[in-house]
Amino acid sequence: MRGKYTSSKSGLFLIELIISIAFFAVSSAICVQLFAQAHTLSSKSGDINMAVTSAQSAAEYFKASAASLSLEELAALMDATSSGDSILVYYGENWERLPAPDSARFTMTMTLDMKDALAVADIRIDDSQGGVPLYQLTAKKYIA
Amino acid sequence: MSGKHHTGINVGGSSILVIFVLLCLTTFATLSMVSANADYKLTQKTVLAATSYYNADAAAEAILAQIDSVLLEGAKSGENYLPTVEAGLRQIEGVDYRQDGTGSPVVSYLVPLNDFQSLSVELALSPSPATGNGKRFSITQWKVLNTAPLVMGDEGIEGLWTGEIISG
Repeated sequence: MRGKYTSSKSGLFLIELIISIAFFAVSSAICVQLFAQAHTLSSKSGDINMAVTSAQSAAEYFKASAASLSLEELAALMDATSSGDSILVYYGENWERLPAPDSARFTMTMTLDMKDALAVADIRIDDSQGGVPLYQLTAKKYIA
Repeated sequence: MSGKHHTGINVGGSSILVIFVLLCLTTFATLSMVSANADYKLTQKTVLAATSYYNADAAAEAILAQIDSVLLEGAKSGENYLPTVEAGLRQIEGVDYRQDGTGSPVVSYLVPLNDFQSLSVELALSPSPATGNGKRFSITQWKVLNTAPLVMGDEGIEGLWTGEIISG
């Protein structure tokens, strides 16, 4: 009689354990998904913040530079690379400056143009892991 | 006596443990999601602020170009310089021409940034015709101003310190 009682109790415990584990598995999967989403959103926010800061910095370089400064001179001032009518700046995974595009994750492209006595700088920051540009900014400067 | 010696199996213990762990997990997951969401919203505001500032700055540069073209035109009129410049500047929308206390010509204009801020630009013009760069005008002000109307409450302007000393 006593053995039967013990075995039924073990069975009950086993069933409870199975249900608990199943419930835990499902719920923790949802929670881990939430954690992952929060992490992705947080890194996206960080990247956009850094992109805005870098674009503003480049825009201020452009606005503060003398009108007589050539594209190559402005690129040298920004410690960047010039290519055609653009200035390129490469950043790594953690927004550290890189000298070459080989292992770059983010690329800032600043294209200079002239429109009706206004010098225009189109600044775009691309993420190699995402299709759309991270941030875009247009700065203008009047050349007297 | 024999009833007191259990095999160590407690029915319900594991459920309580799982419920506790899941409560903790759910709380932390929700908190991290709320925090990440707040960060993202702040980032969106930063993006909007930076973009609207540079848009307003570009618009202010375009107005500056228009003003300078009026000054160049005015320089051709010789002795009639200031009246010609004044008439030309009145044609540009949003541009205010006046003379300061010393009688020097001053031009100012506002470019809206958003609903409560504007970029305020003020230029000191040369009182005599000049054609050289940097001689026709000088920028005396290029700053963001708060243009939101002050909300008047029962005790004056809302949000202002009334001068009352708050002691801890």
